[in-house]
Amino acid sequence: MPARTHFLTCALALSVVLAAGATYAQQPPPPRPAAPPAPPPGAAPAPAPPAGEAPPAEAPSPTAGGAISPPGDSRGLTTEPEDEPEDWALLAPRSILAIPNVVLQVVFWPIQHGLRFTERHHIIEEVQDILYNDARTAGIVPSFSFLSSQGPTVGVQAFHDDLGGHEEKAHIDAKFGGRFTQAYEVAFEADRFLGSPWWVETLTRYEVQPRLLFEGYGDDAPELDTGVNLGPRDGAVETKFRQRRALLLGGVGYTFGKPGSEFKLGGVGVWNSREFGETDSDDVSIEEVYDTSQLVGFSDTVKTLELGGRAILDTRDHKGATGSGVYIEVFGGAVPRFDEYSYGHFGGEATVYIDLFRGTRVLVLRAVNEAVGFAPDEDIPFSDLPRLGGPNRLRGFDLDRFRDRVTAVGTVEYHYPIHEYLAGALFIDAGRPAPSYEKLFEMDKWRLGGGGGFIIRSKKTVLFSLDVAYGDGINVYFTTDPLRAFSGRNEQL
Amino acid sequence: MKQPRVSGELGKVAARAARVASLALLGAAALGLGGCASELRFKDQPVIWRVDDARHIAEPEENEYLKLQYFADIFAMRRLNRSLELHDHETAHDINALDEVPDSTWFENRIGMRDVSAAEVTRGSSDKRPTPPLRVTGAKVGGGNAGFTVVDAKGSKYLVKFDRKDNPEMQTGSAAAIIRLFWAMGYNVPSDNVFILRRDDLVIDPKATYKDELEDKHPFTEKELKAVFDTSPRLPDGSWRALSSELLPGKPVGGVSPEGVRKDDPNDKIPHQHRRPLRGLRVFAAWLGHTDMKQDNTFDAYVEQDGRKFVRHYLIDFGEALGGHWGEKRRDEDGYEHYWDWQAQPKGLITFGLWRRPWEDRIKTPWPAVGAFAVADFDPEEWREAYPYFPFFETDEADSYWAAKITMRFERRHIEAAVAAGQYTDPAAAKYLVETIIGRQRKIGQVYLERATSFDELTIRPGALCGVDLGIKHGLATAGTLEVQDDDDHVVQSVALGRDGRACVRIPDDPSYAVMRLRTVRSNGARPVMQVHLKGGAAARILGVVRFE
Repeated sequence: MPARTHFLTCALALSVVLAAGATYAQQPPPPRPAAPPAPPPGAAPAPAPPAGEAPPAEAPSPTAGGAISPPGDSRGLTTEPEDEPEDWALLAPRSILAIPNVVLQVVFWPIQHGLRFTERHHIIEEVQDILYNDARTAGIVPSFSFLSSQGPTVGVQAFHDDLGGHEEKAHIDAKFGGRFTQAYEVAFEADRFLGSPWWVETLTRYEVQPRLLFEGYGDDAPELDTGVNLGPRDGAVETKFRQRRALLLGGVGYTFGKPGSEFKLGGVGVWNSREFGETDSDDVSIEEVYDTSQLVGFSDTVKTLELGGRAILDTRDHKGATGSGVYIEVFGGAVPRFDEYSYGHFGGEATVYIDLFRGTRVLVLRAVNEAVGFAPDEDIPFSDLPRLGGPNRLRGFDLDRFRDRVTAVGTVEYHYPIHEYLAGALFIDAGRPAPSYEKLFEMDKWRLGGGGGFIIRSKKTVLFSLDVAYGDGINVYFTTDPLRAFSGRNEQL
Repeated sequence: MKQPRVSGELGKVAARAARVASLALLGAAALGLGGCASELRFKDQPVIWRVDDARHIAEPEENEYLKLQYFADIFAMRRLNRSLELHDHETAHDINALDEVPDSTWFENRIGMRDVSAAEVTRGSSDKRPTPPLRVTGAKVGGGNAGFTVVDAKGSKYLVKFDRKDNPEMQTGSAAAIIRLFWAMGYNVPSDNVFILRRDDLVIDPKATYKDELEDKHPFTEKELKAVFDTSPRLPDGSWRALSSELLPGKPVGGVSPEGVRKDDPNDKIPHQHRRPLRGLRVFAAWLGHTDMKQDNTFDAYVEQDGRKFVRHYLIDFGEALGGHWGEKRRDEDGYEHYWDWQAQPKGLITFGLWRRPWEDRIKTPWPAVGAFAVADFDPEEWREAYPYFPFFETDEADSYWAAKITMRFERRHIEAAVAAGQYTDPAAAKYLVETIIGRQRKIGQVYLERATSFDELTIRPGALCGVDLGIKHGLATAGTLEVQDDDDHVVQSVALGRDGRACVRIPDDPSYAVMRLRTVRSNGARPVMQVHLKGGAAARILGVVRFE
């Protein structure tokens, strides 16, 4: 570009910018000397030396005799490079973004200084030192959980994760608030007790839960805003009730095989004592809506002893970031009549992990069934009816939204990788409660819940899952593993 | 018109949006100013080959490395702030008129400027190993591997480190091999050497201590020594393979912060993110799989030399190069994504697994001593360090060209010498490493030299500017043409490059300031124009080089 034209163009542009309120100072560049005239066609490109002749070495020595400059002044420019047009183009967005940037800096300031303080004063290590033993296998830690429908629960737990040197775990804990007015538990479990193939579990718990959900039996009843003296199949009204419960559990079994190809077989006994009453919360209490005399066991202390067996086949390649394999669990047992109640209780789940690609895109198919039976309705306490809803069984519906003699859930879930420790999940759950198997398979009545979420996991374990599901509303769940329908079975028994 | 280059992925997205909006606002004005960017002019003076940044200074404070804050900043907080600042491109501040890096307390030109023998590579900064008996003085602090400090029979102090049981030879081998290549490049590095340690070589100093996680001191006893040995693979004769790293001279004053300057060091005037040795380090790190680049792996020492005290800057700890970081963490994303990667992981989220992540095809080797380090799956431009390192965000094509040029100076003999220092037991593993390093070196050259006008090693001959096409010289291309363009991009000279890449073009007879605009043309297209600023005539001389116009 000829220098004069270049200058005029610049001057014109400069006037536009100045008119817009900007300031800009730009020196016209020094004119470049004309390039040497092009050789005439066919002329040799002399005086260049012939190709192949080595130019004399002029590689500068890094240390010997070279010129020295102060730092930052080594390039030897006559003038510093001036702003480029982009600097001006970015002036407006930079000015606008400066505001949120300052806001963020203000927000980050206490975080950064908090982190600095934490590290300088070894706060994490100090706390760990107070709470844990030196081997970090035992300690006393606070606990916290939150369910949107129940509120926050806080507690404290003392634990040891390696009592016998083979990851035998024991804990004692207490919880208050939220789901519990109070809850205390002592437990011991060992997957390979003292390194043997035997698994052992024992549990003792006492708890008072102030606001358990009851919305009638089944899913045929019309959903109502309120009602009076309703029978459990007359209508579905959201009500709450209180439960006081003592639980004793003991189980022992044998493990065949090794992780990746494992079969567990054993027996479990559970003794339960439960009392029910009106809720302690401000929610609509069960007796305001339902005729509780129609709820078997509501007015009594329900005492049951369930004896049964359990079998688990687990061929998952990894228990956390599972890429392939199956997990099948079946259980069956009976409640012999030593008080008023007697029935059979059985169920199972089968989960298949299908590796779609590289063990990271995984299709999960799951079927879950649970039932009580071999007894008339009056022999089965309402509290022991299988339930649906919540993070493990029929996401998209409130915890224990449905209950009946038979329940079933099917799941199609897809896992895909986001980060080393983070996977995405998309899922659809379908399920329903029913008074019998014949009615269970009226497929047009199955409830659907679907959504997506994240799984925080390592190869070895699922640390927790966050699921957002839509069914009869939007539900958000934090749980350990939504695909283990019976992982909390003992808790719910 | 050059495009503004904005640091970081978030920044790129924000800048793109901002650029569209702002360009729309400025419209023709901005376009009109497009040709008004000032053009560089060089002083008629000798090229600077040494920076005087070793002036005496008062002892600076230790630059504390606080891991929690560091990671919070590089992954999120400072990262977000940086993005909102909409940084645009800045050429490295510490280069000379020839677009090279002068010697300084940061970098000393070695293989890039002179012949370095294989013996020099074998020696590295020093091949001194500890002489038994070794007196254990304390435990190693930081890092993922166990170790301790010793004083040898000659009174020299060393840090002694070991491999992990699941990857014998990996970290010691990598550390000893790679540190020699980094030394030859020009970086200040400690001397790391593999040696064999026997229990009988050690005595525990009665005053030896270690600090627990609360920084409380405890006596270092036989129990602590056993704990170190228990984590380390033992050789069949009962000895251990270990790495000795002689403690650097001077007083440690912390690491090099990835941004800004050390405020209490008057010699440190150039923001670290604008230092070419740190920006170009991205290419070297990619070449050698050194993903573990973070402040904690840099080291400043307050040293004394010729009666002056100043800060010298080091790179340390290459034990997780050559795929070793993958070996230790078993993280397949290593080298492909930052631990938290604002570009890749959100993309992974919204593509629901349909995006085949590049790391899913990464190649693993059969040798426990070698990590996932290969040629076929290596893409220099897509390579990522594990922990975002801000100087790498500023790396431009000129920094990469500079680093690639040095990379290509390494010959097989240099690489074999460095790998031999790793003392790999299995010759097949060592051979694989040599071939892989060479293969990756070639990819570096293809990306960063072959996409530029790599006309270099410039000299003035009577009436001519001569140089060598590095693409041809290093076997990355076989032929090409060197063109000289005028200001209107018309070709005014065209010279076929020799089979060895050499060529000369005429320069003006006029002794006034001239800018030669050169570009290489290959069969697959023309390369970007570079400028050589010179004065012609009888006393012709090169004044400066702008590698990318």
